[in-house]
Formats: sequence, C-alpha cells, structure tokens
Amino acid sequence: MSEGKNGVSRREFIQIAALATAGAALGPSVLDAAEEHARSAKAKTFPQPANSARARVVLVRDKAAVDASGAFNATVLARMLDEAICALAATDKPAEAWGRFFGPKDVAGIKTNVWNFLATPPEVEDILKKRIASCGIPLGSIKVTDRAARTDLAACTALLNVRPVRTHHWAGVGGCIKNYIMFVEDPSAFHPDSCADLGAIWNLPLVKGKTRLNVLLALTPQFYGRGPHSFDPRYVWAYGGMFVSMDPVAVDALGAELLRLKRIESFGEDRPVTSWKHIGLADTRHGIGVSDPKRIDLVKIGWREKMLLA
Amino acid sequence: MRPSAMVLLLVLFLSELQLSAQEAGGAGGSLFPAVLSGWKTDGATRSFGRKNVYDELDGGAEVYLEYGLVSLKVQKYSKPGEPPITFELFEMDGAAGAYGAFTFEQQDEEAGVGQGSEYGGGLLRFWQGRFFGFLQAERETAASREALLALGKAVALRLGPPGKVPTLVRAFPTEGRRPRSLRYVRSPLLLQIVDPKMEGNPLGLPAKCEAACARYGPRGSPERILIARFSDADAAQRGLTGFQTACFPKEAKSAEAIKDESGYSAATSVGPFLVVVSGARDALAAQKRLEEVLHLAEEVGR
Repeated sequence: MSEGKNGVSRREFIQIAALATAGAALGPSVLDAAEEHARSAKAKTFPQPANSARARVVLVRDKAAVDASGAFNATVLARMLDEAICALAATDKPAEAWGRFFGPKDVAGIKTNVWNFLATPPEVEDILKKRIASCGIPLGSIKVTDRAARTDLAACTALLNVRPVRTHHWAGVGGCIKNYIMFVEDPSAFHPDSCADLGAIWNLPLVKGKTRLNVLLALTPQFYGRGPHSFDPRYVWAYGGMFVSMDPVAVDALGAELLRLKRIESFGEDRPVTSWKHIGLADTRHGIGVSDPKRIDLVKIGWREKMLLA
Repeated sequence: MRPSAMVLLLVLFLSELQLSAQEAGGAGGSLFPAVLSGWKTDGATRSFGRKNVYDELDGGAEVYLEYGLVSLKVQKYSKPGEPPITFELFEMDGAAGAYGAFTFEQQDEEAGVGQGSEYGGGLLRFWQGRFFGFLQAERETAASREALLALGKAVALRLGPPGKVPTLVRAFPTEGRRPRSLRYVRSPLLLQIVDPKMEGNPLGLPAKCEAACARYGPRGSPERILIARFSDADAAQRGLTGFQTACFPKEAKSAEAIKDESGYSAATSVGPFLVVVSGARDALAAQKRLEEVLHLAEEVGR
C-alpha cells in the first residue's frame, strides 16, 4: 500500500478505515468520531498514491477462474477478489478488508469497461458491487458504467476502477490509467503523442482523490492487437489473474510488463507495439502513482504456473 | 439493324446491367453485396469522415488518420447460426496510404483478395487502389472464413484499378528479408510504432513524410533497415546529422558502424534518402547492408 505524501499516512489511513468500519456496526457516534478523525488528519479524500515512495500490488491467480470455453467461474472470481483485498489490507478477514476501502458514508461507483471484444466480465462487476454494498452502501445506489462515467459517476465520493488489460493501438496498453478517459468530454484530446498525458485525467476535480481501488483484470489478457479494433483472437490467453492495488500506475506497469513477456514467449522476440509512455509519465509528470518496478511491492497469491512475472 | 431496334437492344442491355449490379452490389449500386454465401447485410452501410471516425473506431482511428483516411464505410453482415461479420472499407487520399495501412501489421499468408491481402484468425485484410479493406468475423468458423474471402473478393473487384506500390519499397534488398516484415509509413508517429528506436523522431521527419523499415535474418534477429525519403539531399543530410547526434556516441565518426545493445548500426544519406541499418551482427555486415541499400536507392532515385 502506498503512503501518499499529500494524503494521510498508512497508519492514519488504517485508523480512519477501522473507525469507519466500526462505525457501521456501532452507530452514529462512532461514525462521527471517524469523520472527526478524518478531518483532523486532513483526509477528506482517501490517500492518493501520488508520487509514493513505494506501491503495493497484489497479483492473484487461479487456474479455475476461466474454463476451456472461456467462461468465467464466479465462485472462484469472488474468492480471488477477497484474497487479493485481504492481502492488500494485511488482514485475513474479507469483510474487514473491504471495509477499509469503502464505508457507509460513501457514494460509490464502479468504472468498468465495455469494449466489445474484451469487456469487464459481468460476473466481476456483480461481485465488486456486492462487496462494496457489504460495506454499508445500498446496493441499488452503486452505479456501474463505462461510457457514462462523466455524468453517472460525477457525484461519487468513492470509485472502484476495473477493466481487463490489453494492448492498445494508440496508447500501447489499455489499463487502469486509460480507463478514466471517459471522464473527459473529448477523449481524442488525449490522443496526441501516444496518449502521453492520460495521467492528467486523474488530477481533474471530477476524479481526483476518489479512487479507492484499482482492479486490473488479467483473466484473459490480450498481448498483441491487430486491425482497426486492435483485436485478434489469436493473441488472447487464459492467464487467470488480477492485479489489485490502490495505485493505478503500479498495476498498469506490471500489466504492461506481463504483456511484453507474453509477446516474447509467443513470438520468440518482442514485436514492436505503440509505446506505453503514458504509464511512466503518469508517475513522473502527473504524480499519480509508481511506475518503476523496483518501487513496486508485488504480492503473489495462488496459481504459479507460467506466471511470467518474476 | 434499324436505329429503333438498336435503341431497344441498348435499353435492354442497360437494364440487364443495372439488375446485375443490384444483385451483386446491393440496392442503389452499393459497393457491398446485399447477399453472399448466405450472409445478408444487417442494416444500412454507415459512413464516417475524419472528424467522426472515432465514433466507430475505439482507439484504432489514429493509425488510419495518419495514413490519410478520407472516409470509412462500415457494413455488417449476418447469417443465422453463424457469427456476424463486419466489413470496414477505408478510403485513403492515395494508393500509398492504402498500401501502408496494409503493410502496417502484415503477418499472415496471402489470401488472393485485391492486389495484396492476408487472412488469419478470422481477420481478412487487403488493399486495392486507394482502398484498404478489413473484414472480421466475431468468431472464426469454416463458413465465416469462406464468406470473408468471398465478400472481400466481390468488393475488391469494384474498387477500380490497382494502385502503384511506392517506389521507396524497391530500395530494400530482398535477400535475407523476413517475409511480410516491411512496414511503409507516412508519418513519424507511425514510424516510431514500427521502429521503437525512432521514438521522438530523431530523423527530424516532417509530420507528413515517407519512410519504411523491414526486418532481416531469422526470427529473433534484431537486424533491420530503415529508409526515409526527404524533400531533397540537403534535408536528408540534416536528418542524418540529427540522427547521428541523437543515437550515435559523440566520438563516432559519421561513416563508421557503431555498436549498441542490439548489434551494429550504420547510417548514411544518398540523394533525398536517409538509410539506417541496425542490429547487424558485426560492423562489416552493417556496412555491406548499407552499400546494398545505397545501390538500390540510387536506382530508385533515377
């Protein structure tokens, strides 16, 4: 987990979250105390992983997440998400872990991805919605959207960002950073120089400081794309994984590396693809997270075969 | 034959022609067949220009804009029990753009459609004249493969005469060149995608330009040749100086091959052409490749 220099410390964050979680069970007075603590800690928004010293990413994998026909196993996916969130929050109780990221005072929303060829599986959206609801947020109030993010998620105070990782024609890699492009009115304005400044979107008032979790799905990642839609079914494989972190840059950096390693394994060399410079610049220019693998603590859980990432 | 009989025959002939066009080319003389191999058009043909092409291509539009996209026509096809097919026909500002869009990610075997094509994984790509065609089945089946090829051939025949392959391509030696590895580009942005060493445009190419690169040697070999055409010899010389300044060590002499992490590189200019050989196994091999290209480039320039 990152410690944002502009936010609260990890210790404070856990204290706030613990108070908020307790508040859900104990009533308004405790909740008020949690809020007061948050105010005193200048934590009106959750700690951002901005320019953090280090980032923590959990990679959870399960061979049974995807079957031979490409169908997803919802039971397995739910277990994977719970395991990942527990590892991220350093607890063995899923309810406690989820409660550290979402609380009853939140207006929560899920930014998903509906790209026709490789969308966020509805099974994953459903599990995440239920897990957020379990933190004391009415299920019906949790909006899940992609294209309408700019309007439907505008009022949210807590966002969960989820999408599959894939190569992208013009950004090199489509990951968690790029997933927020639907928060801007004119996405093509971010296309110059291979979408170099996608990280700037994360500093817009509409989203800044609101993202509690990033889930970069690597269940069936796409490691090479072709054609105007950048999709060739030959270059998708069942990896059965998910990267989970508070840091969108760190999950994307690892996702991009996974795709690169898969290209080398598959083609015997790395084929040129568009530079994914936006990931590095999201760190060095826009300060929204950590892109240097040396500063990313990767926690691996589950299936180890052909993991590729060392 | 009496004049009235000739007019009658002409009318009958034209009616027959129109009927054939409607059967094969769809209502209103569309480029897209209304029915073929049991697949029928699903909805009307949709058209997009440079400004609204993003409405159809989510993230993929930029490549075609850089290749000089003028318009895009999209026709969907469906057949009960079979995956839907999408036919996208890109009209470019010239044959060079269509050829470039085809070479940009060429990798599969020739499919016999238009003047150059490939099929693989449920994708058919071809070019004909100033048009680049792309067909994709949602899922590959034996029937969808057959339909893609039939649709591609039917439309390619209606796209006019073949276009001219850019002369720059003739400057690439064929010996040792990996099949289907040549990439022809029209902008520095496209060049840096097909050759990551060109990130940041070290050649100083203008926004609209002509360049190509190709890979040599077996799979895994880093050897490649890049050729860029400038407006004149002076511009090419400036491009060479810029490249050597950005990519070669300061102490390197301009005419010698230098070693970097991918092997030996050498660069020079001849007339309006700038040539870069990289990833060669040794200095001699780099210089030999360079001489080969210079000889061919001089012929192209004549």
